[in-house]
Amino acid sequence: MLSADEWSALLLSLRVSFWSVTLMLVPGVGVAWLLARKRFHGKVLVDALIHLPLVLPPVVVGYLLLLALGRRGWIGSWMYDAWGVEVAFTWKAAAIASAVMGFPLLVRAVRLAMELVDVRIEQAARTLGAGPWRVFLTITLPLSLPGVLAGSVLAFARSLGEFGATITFAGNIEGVTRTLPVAIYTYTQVPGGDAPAARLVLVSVALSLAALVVSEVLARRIGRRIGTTP
Amino acid sequence: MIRANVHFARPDFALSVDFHADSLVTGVFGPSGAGKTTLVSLIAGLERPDRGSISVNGSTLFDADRGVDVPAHHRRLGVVFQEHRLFPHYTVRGNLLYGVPREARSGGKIDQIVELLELGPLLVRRVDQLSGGERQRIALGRAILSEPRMLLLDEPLASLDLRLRQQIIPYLRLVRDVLAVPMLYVSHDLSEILQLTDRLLVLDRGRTVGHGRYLDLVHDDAVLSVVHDRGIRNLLAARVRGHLEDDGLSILEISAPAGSAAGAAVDLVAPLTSAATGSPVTISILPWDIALAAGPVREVSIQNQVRGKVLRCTAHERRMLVEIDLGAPVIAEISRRSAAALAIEAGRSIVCLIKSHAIQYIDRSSA
Repeated sequence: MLSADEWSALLLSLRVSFWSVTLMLVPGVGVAWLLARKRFHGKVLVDALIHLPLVLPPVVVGYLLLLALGRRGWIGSWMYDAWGVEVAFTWKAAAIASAVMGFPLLVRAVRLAMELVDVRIEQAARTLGAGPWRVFLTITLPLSLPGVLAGSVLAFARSLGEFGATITFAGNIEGVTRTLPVAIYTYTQVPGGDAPAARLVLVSVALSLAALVVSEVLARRIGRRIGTTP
Repeated sequence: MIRANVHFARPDFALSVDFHADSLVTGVFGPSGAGKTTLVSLIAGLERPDRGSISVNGSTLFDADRGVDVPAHHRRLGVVFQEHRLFPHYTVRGNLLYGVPREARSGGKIDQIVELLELGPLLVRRVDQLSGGERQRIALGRAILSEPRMLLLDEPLASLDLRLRQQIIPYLRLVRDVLAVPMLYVSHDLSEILQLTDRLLVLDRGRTVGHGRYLDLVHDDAVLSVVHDRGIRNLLAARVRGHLEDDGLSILEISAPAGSAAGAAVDLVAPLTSAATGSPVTISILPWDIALAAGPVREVSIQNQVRGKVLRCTAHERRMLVEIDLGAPVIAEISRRSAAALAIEAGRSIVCLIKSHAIQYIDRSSA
């Protein structure tokens, strides 16, 4: 059904999306908690910075990443000198680009879920001797789990579709950084590429739909277990 | 037990309370908006006072001058809130064990509390499968199991209907009598508090209005202004002496309060109770349901004519509150005009007239 190149694009996309979500999950939940529960100076600025990728052209995000993490970038050059690691134009760059683009979606979903967790229940836990970490791990996080899940799936789906930042920061190298959308774009640029492009479009649609359905089912199941939905 | 001197100001509310409570149970009474819940939050460490200090059982929990501010999770104060605040994603057992250190989870203490509060059949249930009364009982058990220095009960029964409230109070008494955990019991319902203690802290608009024994506070004009409309009442311990079933009446004997010399037994005729002969009951009589007479009255429908001595009397607005010793002290409220006509004064012997149906049972099973 799919050619070897098409399979490689699909598997690469899945791998990039998986790692991009994994990469942003812990910082995303942490930032969401800070925004939902803490008041601090510059909160508005932090909030704006996180949401910036939602409104910036993806190409700009990719270019900024290249400036920062490219071989001659201010972090990239240091990483190359220290460990000999090069990120730009590898699949890792695609994962990072996707993570930055998906981060606001994850943070938003988790933050909303955490704001819905009753602070008074957290207070009750504190009076029972639970410190901040225990309150977070046993009360706040479990009760906002549907939101964490929804945010993760959203970020995963966003990752599958990431194009602008990826092509700028990771390039379009077959088998290395040619993810589904990049592959579709490439096929549409060459003669005879209509059929493979169409097949990959179908794969994309199916994948995104599956992600959304799975997340909905899981969220309901978790919701029932933690008593937030009847 | 607890010493608190806290000052807390917000744009819309200020609290400034200084008290020292050394009885096992202290009731905090006041109308809504008096600052009761704020006081609990400050003691529990959920809010921070601007100035002052708080110590419980000799441990300083907060002292602004010395820079002490023990975080809430290290204060070891068990709080039962108005809303149960149970954890919806834990079973009943999980809720109960939340505050118990891991190494103490197999102790007999847990079984004892579960038995005392009759929680056994509920342990495997989920929180959303419980009734309101069950939830508050579990919240109480959860707080006790965290082995607190003191229990702070913030209107724990306010979300329940009257019948359920009376079902929970016996459990609170058990906690007081069997476990001897010190309690600060906050309520806007005086009769609820009086079933647990006669030591009161009266708050109004963020300030202490009075602090001490109920019967002393009743003679304090400032306290009366706060308490009066909210129902001063007489809560008396009594014992069932027998039943007059054909007449629909029971005979009760008023029990002398603990610590006072037992005088002559005083009997009251009251509505028929289902409580067995010999069993204790708690009764309530409103002060304005007690009439006073200089001597016994002949040919009158009122069943109870009890002679007693006036202990104290206090004028408040156009009324006179008269405290009379009927084996236990009782407050009667009459008009100033009547008081003058009868020449009521401390030391005078007087007859109290109480209709049998002015006597209400407030225990769960005897009504």
